Amino acid sequence: MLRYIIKRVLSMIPSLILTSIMVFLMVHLIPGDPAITMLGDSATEESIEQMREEMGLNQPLVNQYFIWMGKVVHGDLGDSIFQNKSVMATIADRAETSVLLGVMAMILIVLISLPIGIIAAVKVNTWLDQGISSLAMFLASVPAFWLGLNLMLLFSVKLGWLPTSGFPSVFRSGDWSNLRYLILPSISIALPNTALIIRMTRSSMLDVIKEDYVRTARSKGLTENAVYIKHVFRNSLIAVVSSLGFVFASLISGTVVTESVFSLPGVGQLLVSSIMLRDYPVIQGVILIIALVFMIINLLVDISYAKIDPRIRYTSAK
Amino acid sequence: MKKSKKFRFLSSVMMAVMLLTLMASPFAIAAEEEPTVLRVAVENEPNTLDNQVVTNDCASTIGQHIFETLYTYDEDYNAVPLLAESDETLEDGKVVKITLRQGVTFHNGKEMTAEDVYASLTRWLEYGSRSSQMREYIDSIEVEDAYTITLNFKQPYSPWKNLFAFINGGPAIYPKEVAEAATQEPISEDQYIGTGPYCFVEHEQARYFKLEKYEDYAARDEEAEGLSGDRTGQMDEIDFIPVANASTRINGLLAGDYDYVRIATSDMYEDLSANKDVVVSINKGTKMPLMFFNSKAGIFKDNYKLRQAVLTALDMEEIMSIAVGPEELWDLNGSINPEWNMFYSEEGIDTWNQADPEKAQQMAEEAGYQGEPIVILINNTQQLHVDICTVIAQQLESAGFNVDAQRLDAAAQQAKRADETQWDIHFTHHIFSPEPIIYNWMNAGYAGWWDTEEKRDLVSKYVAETDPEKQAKIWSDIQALTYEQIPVIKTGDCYEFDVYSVRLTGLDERVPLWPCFWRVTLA
Repeated sequence: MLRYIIKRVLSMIPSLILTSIMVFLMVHLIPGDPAITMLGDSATEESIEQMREEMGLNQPLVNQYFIWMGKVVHGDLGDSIFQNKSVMATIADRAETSVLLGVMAMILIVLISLPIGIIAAVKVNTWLDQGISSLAMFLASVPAFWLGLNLMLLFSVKLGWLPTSGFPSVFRSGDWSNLRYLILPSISIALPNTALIIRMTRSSMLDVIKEDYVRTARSKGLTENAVYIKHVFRNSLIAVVSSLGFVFASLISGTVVTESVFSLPGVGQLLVSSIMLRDYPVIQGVILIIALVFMIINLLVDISYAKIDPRIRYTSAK
Repeated sequence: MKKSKKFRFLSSVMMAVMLLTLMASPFAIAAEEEPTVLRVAVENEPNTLDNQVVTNDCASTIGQHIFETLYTYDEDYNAVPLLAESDETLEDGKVVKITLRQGVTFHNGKEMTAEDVYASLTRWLEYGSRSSQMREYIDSIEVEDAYTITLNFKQPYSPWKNLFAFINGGPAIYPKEVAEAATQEPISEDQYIGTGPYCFVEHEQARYFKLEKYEDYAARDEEAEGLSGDRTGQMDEIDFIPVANASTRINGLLAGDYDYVRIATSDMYEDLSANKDVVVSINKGTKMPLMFFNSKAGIFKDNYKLRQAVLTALDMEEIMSIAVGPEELWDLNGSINPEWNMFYSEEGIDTWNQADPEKAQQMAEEAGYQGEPIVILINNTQQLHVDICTVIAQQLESAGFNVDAQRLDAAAQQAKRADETQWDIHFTHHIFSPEPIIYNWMNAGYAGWWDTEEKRDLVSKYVAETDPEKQAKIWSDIQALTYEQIPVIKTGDCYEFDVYSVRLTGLDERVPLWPCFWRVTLA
C-alpha cells in the first residue's frame, strides 16, 4: 500500500508540471495587461512600460515560466500583483471559507442523498422511486443563483433567521456561530449535488442487486434490511465514493456562482477577481493548488476503495 | 467490536444532525450590531484606497473619509476650501498662494504642514491619475513657510482649484514620509494615513474595509453642506462591505444586515421606491455613457463626416429607455454637463438625437464609407454598457453600418484599446465632473487621442481664463467643436441610485458623486 501511495504521489509531478505549463500559457496569452490595469487609462506609455519591466513581463515567456517554476518548486507561489502579499497567504485567507463550505455541503449531501438513494433502490419502480427520481431531476436542474437568492429571500429577508451574505472568519474570531453564514450557501450548493449522488446510489445498488452473492445472501435467509445494508449498499459504495470525492474536490475548489450570490470570500471569487485584474501569480497559484487538491482527493478516494472492498489490494505492477 | 463500530457511526450521524440543527437555530444568531457601526454595502472592492492614483468610484467613496484634499465641493459643486484656509492669485493667474489651515493633524498625530502638501502635490503631479494636463502648465511648487505654499505656473491656469477638489484620482494630502516614498504604484495599507474624519483600521480581503472615527479630527467651522463644511464623524465605526451582486446587497438591506446600499439596478427602482422601510436616493452626479472614436487610425481618423453619420443614426431616447428603463433614471441631454451646472450649454447639440438612419446612410456614403467593419469594444462586466451597445449596434446596422461589436472583460478592453489598430469605437462612461477639462477626451493621451489644433487653441484659452462666465463661454465653444469633430458621442445622462434604511439620518436628498457618511446617524 505504501509503495502504491508513493508511486501515486510521484505520478502527480508530471501532471502538475503539465498543468503549470497550460495555466501559464493560458494566463499570458489572453488579452490584458496587469500594468495597464494597475495604472489605469491615464498612465503614460513610459510608466506602463516601466511597470511591465518591474513586474518582469518584458522578459521572454519561457524565462518568465522558469523563474516562476523555480520559485514554485521551493514552495513559493510568488506575490500577488494587487494585494501586497504572497499568493500563499492570499489563498490561505480564502481557503477557510471554501473548505468549511465544502465540508458543510458534503455533510448535507451525504445525510440527504444516501438514505434517499437507498430508498429509491429498495422501492425501485414504485411511485416513491418515481417521485424521488423526479425530485432529483428537478434539483439537478435548478440554477444555483436562483436557488440561493430564493433561500435568501425566505430565510433571511422574510423569516430573519439567517444572515444574507458575507462570512466573518471563524478561525480569527474564534466564534463558531459564524458558521450560520454558511448554512444557506451550503444548502444551495448541496441540493443540486444531492441529486447526482441520489441517482448514483440508486443505480449502483440496482447493479449490485443483480449479483449472485445477493441471491445467495437472500437464500441463506438473511433479512431484506441486512441484505441491502450489508451486501448491496456496501458493495455499491465504490462508485458512490468516487462521485463524492469528485463533488468534494469541486466544492472546496470554489463555487463561483454561490460565492458571488452570498458574497463569500472563497477561492472561486478569488480566482474570478484575479482573472479580471490579470493578477497572473494568483491565477497560476490558485489553479495549481486546485489541481493538487483534485489529485490528493482522488488518491484518498482510491485508498478508501481498499477499506470499502477488502478484495481490492494495491500492489506495484510487476 | 461490531456494536462499537455501529455505535460510533450512529453517534457521528447524530452529532452532525445536532450541529446542523444548532447552526440553523435562530438562537444561534448573534446579538445585533452596535448602533454606532454603520454598515455600507458597496458595489466592488477597490484594489487600493490610494486616491491619488486610482479613479475607481468606490475607492473615492471610502477614501474620502480617510484622506482629504485642499479643496472640496459644496452642494452646487463649487470648489471651496477644505484643508486650505484661503488662496490668493497673483501675476494674472500665473502665481497662486495657498494658505493652509493650522492645527490639522494626520491620523498619526503629526500636524499637517506645507511640507506634507508639497510632497503630496509633487507625487500627484508625477504619478497622479488626473494630473497629466496640469503637469504641462506647472513650473514649480514652493514652500513659503509652515502653512503657505506657492504654485508657479508657466502661464495662467485656472482649473487648478477644481483639480485640487476632485478626490477621484486627485491630490489627496498624505504625510510627507508617505508621499515622498510613494511611486507610481499604490501606497500600501499601512500607509493609509490621512487627515479625514475616519481612520483606516483594517481591510480584510473580500470582507470589509473598517474605518474608525478620528477623535482628534480638526473640523471646519462652516456648517456641513454637500462634501464641504464640518465633517466631524457621528458614527464610531463605518464598515464598507464589498457585495458584488446587486440583489444580494438589496436583500441584505431588507434583512437588516446593511444600513446603506450603493447602486441598485434600474429594474429594482419601482419596487424599492414603493417600499416604506427604505429610502431611494438618486445620485446627483450624472453618468454619461460614451462612444469614443479612434482619431489615430482606422476609418474614423480625420473623417468627421463619417462620425457625424454615426451620430445622425442614433435614437437616444430608444437607447436610454431600453437600456436604463425608468424615466426617473435618465435624461435626454446632449449638453456635456447637466442643466443645473454652470458649464451647461446648448452649443452644437442640434445634431444630437436625430434618429435618422436614411440620412445617416447617405452621409456615410458621402464620407466614403464602403461597408468596412466597425469594431466596437465593449466592457462586458458593465451591464449598462452591454445593453446600450446592443441597441446602438442594431441602430447602426439599420443605417447600413457593418458593426463588429466585441464584448471583452475590462482588462482585455483596456489592453486592446491601447492599440489604435485594434478598434474604431470603444464604449465607456464618465461621471459628471465640475471641471469639464478633466474629461478623458480632453486628454490627448487617452484612448481616442483627440488632439486637433482647434481643440488645443480652445483649451489654451479655457485654462488661461479666470473669469468664470467667460470660461463657461469658451467651454461652450469646446462643446460646439466636440459636436463638429466628434471625438466622442454621449447617449444621454443616466443616474445611479442608492438605497438605505429609514433609520438613517444626515444624508442629502440626492447623494453626491461619492456619498459621504460622516454626518450620518442611525436611529
